[in-house]
Amino acid sequence: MLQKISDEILVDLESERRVLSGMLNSEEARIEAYDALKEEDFYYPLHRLVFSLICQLYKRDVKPTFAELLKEAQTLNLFRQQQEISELAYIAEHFIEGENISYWLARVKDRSRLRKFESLLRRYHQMIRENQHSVEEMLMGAEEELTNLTALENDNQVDSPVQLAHLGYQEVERRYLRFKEIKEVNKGIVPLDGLPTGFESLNNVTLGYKPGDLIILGAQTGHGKTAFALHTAKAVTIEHKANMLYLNTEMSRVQIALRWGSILSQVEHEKIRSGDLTTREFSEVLQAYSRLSNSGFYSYPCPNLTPEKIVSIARKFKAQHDIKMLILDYVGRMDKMTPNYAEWQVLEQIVKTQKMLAQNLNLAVMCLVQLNEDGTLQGARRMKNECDLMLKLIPVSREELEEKEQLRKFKDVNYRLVVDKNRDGRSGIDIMIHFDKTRQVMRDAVLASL
Amino acid sequence: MIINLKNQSDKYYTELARAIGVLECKGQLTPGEASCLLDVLDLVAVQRDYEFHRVLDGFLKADYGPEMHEIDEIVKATLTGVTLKSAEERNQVMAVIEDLTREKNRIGKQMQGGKDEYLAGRESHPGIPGSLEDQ
Repeated sequence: MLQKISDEILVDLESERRVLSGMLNSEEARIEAYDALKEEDFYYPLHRLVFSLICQLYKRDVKPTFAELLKEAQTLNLFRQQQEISELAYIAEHFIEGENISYWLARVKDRSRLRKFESLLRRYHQMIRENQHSVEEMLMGAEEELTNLTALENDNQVDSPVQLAHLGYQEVERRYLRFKEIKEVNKGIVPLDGLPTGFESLNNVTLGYKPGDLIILGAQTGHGKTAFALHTAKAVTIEHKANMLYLNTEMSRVQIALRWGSILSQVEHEKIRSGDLTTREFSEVLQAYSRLSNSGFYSYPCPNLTPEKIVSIARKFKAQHDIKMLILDYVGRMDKMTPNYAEWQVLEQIVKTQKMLAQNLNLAVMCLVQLNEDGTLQGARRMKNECDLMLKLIPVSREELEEKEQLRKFKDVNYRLVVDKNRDGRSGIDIMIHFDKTRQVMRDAVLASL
Repeated sequence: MIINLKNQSDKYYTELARAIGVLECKGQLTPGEASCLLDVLDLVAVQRDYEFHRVLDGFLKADYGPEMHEIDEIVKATLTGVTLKSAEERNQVMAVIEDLTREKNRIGKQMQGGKDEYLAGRESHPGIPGSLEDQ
């Protein structure tokens, strides 16, 4: 008979309390714990309940103070015993500022895995005693369960040949049906796989920005990085009605708000900035803001942004607003995590973090980077390796317009969007764009023959 | 063992919230009253809404005994009947409480004035039973 293992080894109530008190008192802790733990990782039923309540409040963007927790419990008719309320108070008041939440999280997680392991051993011990299963069957079963226990949360998806074949079949079937739909229903217009890009020609090339994609957009200073970002935001949050988080390291809240006024109303940005508007223009700008207020655009201007901060904020907005895309405007202005790193090392580090973020949170992440004067990008090769789509926004000079026949096919082209890398489709192509700087709006260039 | 290093104000906050929760469990507070008190506690202790605190403090200081029971009940109904989380509703509530505090002070002063007049009357009207001259 297996002896009972001491609870001290399998259970760590102190760490559970630490995590919960951390969640009540610190947003950082909430973000970490919400992402890393599940209800069943807590041993004590009351702790499970508290964790679940804090997560519910957090998802609704309610700060889970002790008072809010009690109110939530009251609404759900929970914690009806004085003893339970006192235990809650005990958790709430034992938070120590500055404690390393990751340490306590790891302890809770480890004990949870240990309990699962112990339960697995007990089950197989029982099976051996019953003597009704073949050795092969038991060993194979135990091996599979043990593999699941040891695998890390995010990397535990190992596809068997059957699963992979099934996935492939489903994907091809979906694409086959979509192609038929393009021909029959949509009359040639390609339905997107991801979020709209804001340019029809780029939609055709990429099929949209897909969850897990890292998109890098490079442009020189003053050549439309933010305009491109907000153009994308318009397509995603206003026209497509999806939620997005926009992180800006350079501009103030007021500057971003004024840009939107111009983009959505088509009134010149300079007129909006100076206030020199006709009554009609003023009314158009006001209407534009009502569109913005009904959109899914969440803006976070933050001059001292670090990669860790981006991860925290992105997790928070994913949980609370189910964002589908994140735009980082722009990478060059972010604080260095390691001050003695060279510029290219910092960029590489940031881009790698963003790619992981895109995959882990299943959202499209767009990073804006600055191009050198000659149109090259520092650390370009490394960035290119990490990203799924690399775009460069390059102005078209008058000489180029006169020289290149391809450009003369368009009426009003003044910028080229170079698709430098496209993991899911054609690359090395140029998309012709018209960028109206006075109104901060972009669109596909119009063909001269139309 | 967890070492408690929290400061005093945080302890008061937790203890007050606990007390409200326990009183609600015991049925000595209704769910509405408990919820309102917890909201007030968060507003004052966590969000540090000093204006709200000032208005409530002013009302509590205007204590003229059980004669003002009706006004106290109006304030209670006002507080429990709104969502204190909404800044707009909170501002409206504060305006109502300030009006009622003024009213309470006015009536209270009249009552005090009445008592003084009464006492003064007894002093100046010898013959009235219990007047100072009789003693």
